[in-house]
Amino acid sequence: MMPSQSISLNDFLPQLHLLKRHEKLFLIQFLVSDLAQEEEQLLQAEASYPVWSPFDATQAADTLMKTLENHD
Amino acid sequence: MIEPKRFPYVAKQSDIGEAGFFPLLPIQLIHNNQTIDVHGLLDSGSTVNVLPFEMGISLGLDWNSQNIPITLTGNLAKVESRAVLINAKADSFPQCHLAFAWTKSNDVPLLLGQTNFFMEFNVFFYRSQLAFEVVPK
Repeated sequence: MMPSQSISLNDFLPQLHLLKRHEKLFLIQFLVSDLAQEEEQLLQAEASYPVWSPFDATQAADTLMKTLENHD
Repeated sequence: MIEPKRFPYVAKQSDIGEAGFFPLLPIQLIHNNQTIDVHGLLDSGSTVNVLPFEMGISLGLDWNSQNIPITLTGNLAKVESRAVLINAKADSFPQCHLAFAWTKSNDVPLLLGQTNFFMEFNVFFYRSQLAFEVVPK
């Protein structure tokens, strides 16, 4: 995901020290879950991801190279 | 010595966030007296350069005059293709010859692949910065 500039971490961090132990643990779990969700969103179920690359088309490459050589 | 030129990734598909950004190089294709300004996908996974059909027509190419058949793989395996040589100019770099598989498909973007774009240019990808650099070999 694109980095967000809306919250300044430096302003936020001192306040985290004031949390109770169980709140800190909850926060860790929340962030881990949030990060995992962002990773999943990189590839979406309904989106299409076309791959057009003619990979391993060695014969085609050979033909193009010969075409270039004949031209030069 | 020619300095590398830095280009930004281009947002092509807005619904998939950062995954929708692609390394599209602004490039000028020149054939006879026809010139077109287009964007080519820097595709290191493609063995060859691929020219979509309509771009070839815009350059004044005649399909029936091209007599070197090319067999592609993957999604383009079913589509007829022929070899063409095109002059290309990227940014302020010197003009060079690029060999393309001119395909009858218009679904494919202009692909700049190993033969022979990556033979002519060194390319550096900085995906985390959504930028890439290109310099002639």
